[in-house]
Amino acid sequence: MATTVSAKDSPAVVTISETGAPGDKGETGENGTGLNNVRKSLLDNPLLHILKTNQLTDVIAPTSMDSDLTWTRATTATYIDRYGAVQTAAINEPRQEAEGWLIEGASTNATLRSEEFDLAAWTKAGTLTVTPNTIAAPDGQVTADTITCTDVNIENLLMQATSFVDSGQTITMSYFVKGGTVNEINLRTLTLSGGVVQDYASRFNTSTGVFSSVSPNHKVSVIALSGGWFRIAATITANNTGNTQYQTRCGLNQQGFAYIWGAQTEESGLSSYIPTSTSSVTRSSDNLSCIVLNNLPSKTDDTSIVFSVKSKHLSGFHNFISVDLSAIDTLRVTHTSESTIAFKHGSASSTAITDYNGGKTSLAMVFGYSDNLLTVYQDGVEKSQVDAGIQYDVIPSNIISFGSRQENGSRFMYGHLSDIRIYDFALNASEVNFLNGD
Amino acid sequence: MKDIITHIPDLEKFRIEAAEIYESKGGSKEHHAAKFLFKDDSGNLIFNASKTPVVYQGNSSLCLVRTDRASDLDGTIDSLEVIGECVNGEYVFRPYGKDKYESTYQTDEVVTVSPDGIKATYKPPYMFGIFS
Repeated sequence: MATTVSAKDSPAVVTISETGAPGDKGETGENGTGLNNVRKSLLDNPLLHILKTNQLTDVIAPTSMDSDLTWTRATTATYIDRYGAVQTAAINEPRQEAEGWLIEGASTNATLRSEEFDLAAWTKAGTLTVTPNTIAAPDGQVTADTITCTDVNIENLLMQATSFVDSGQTITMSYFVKGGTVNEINLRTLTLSGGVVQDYASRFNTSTGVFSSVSPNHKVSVIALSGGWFRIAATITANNTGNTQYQTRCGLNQQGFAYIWGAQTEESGLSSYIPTSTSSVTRSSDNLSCIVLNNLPSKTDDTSIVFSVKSKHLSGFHNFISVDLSAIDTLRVTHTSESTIAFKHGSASSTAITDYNGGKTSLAMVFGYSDNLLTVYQDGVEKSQVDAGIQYDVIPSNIISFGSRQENGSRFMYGHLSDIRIYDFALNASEVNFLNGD
Repeated sequence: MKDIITHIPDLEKFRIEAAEIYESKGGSKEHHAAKFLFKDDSGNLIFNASKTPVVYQGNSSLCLVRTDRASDLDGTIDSLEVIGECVNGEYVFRPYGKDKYESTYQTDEVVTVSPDGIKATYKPPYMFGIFS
């Protein structure tokens, strides 16, 4: 077996075998291509490697300890563990879900008594009644309520009003629901009191786990949990001025019962559940960063950054990774609009992928110092290549922000980051594909 | 950490003072509150701290701020007053703090009837917010 490992700027060849044994061919069927281009020894030596599954930091300067990655959050926060149960993380405690490490900006649950639907904070209409604390909720506590209706000829619902509605404002309502003898759950949102009423309804089926009907003005989402529970959400954008009130409604249109827990009304998109009692409750942002020193290549090095992301909020401006170099915010990967993720490494305008759909995706940006080209990959496939423009000095005392732009506390993402690697050489296409898992 | 209830009676005055405090950033006489002040990508001054949504009433505002050093904000800014704290999920006001709070945050009951005839009564809770 002959093995040749090249360094950067040389043809990258790892000939695994020339004997004709099974597995010796590259993916195109010829030696020297495909997997044979992967320089495993180099890939195993990143400058930085963090947010692996079950391992917060693997390689990070200065000491390769978890403490080298600063992760702060001023409040407790909930998350869904890989078994589908709701858990609570302490202040500053990182949250890991099945999709990756959960990073969120701040959010406020404006719904009061989020687990106590029997109380007066919830208006009941029609024949709907509430029996409190009947079964185990998604967090394992017996705090979920049974909702029952006896007449299907009238609207049977729970309702609560909140006070924020401005034109252009995005609002999301969500509930944890579980089927009983009834498997159709109605979700309805109203904005009213002053302007044109917006009244939208969707219906979720607990047997199939999908929405059976969706208002064209709702953006809905479903998270399946353990024990037959689902977290269902509908997002609206207020489209007229003058309304001062938003109503969240949840109900049944079949005779029988179902279960409910954990209501939430928040601005922007869906975020992790925030329990409430007598007032609205705010969860603070996750703030992740590490120092630039020895975690980012120098100005004259090739640079590769690879990571996986799943962004829950598709509107807004969210930084996945950013660094302030000598000029402001000059190295970054940013979710700039619903389907667009922009990449920047220098003074030139960003180059972007434009077909992101919110699912988990693997991203790579590769900068070559000699040709000054920035190449962008998604899921192992090259998407664009541009001249990166003027390169700026790297300031070792600056920070690398993950999930926001911490230099000014802005551009927070809501979603998952995982398997972040930074290399001081240019990955080739085969290596990007290899790291993508293909 | 401490959750302090901040009251700004005159937002215009606060904006002017905040700009002056921001200018002290990085200097030998940096103001205690400068660490909370940043400029966003459009150059606008922002107050970056763990805070609840701000309650506005005309030219005044209320906000609950969680900080590990309340002394950075308490008595250091002329145009910002700490009128109380949130302790174990309850607001505890300083003398005159309750009056200022109640004059800024309105909890009047609002009754609406939706097009389907369902009557809803909305009365904002006495506390505008707490932290998880």
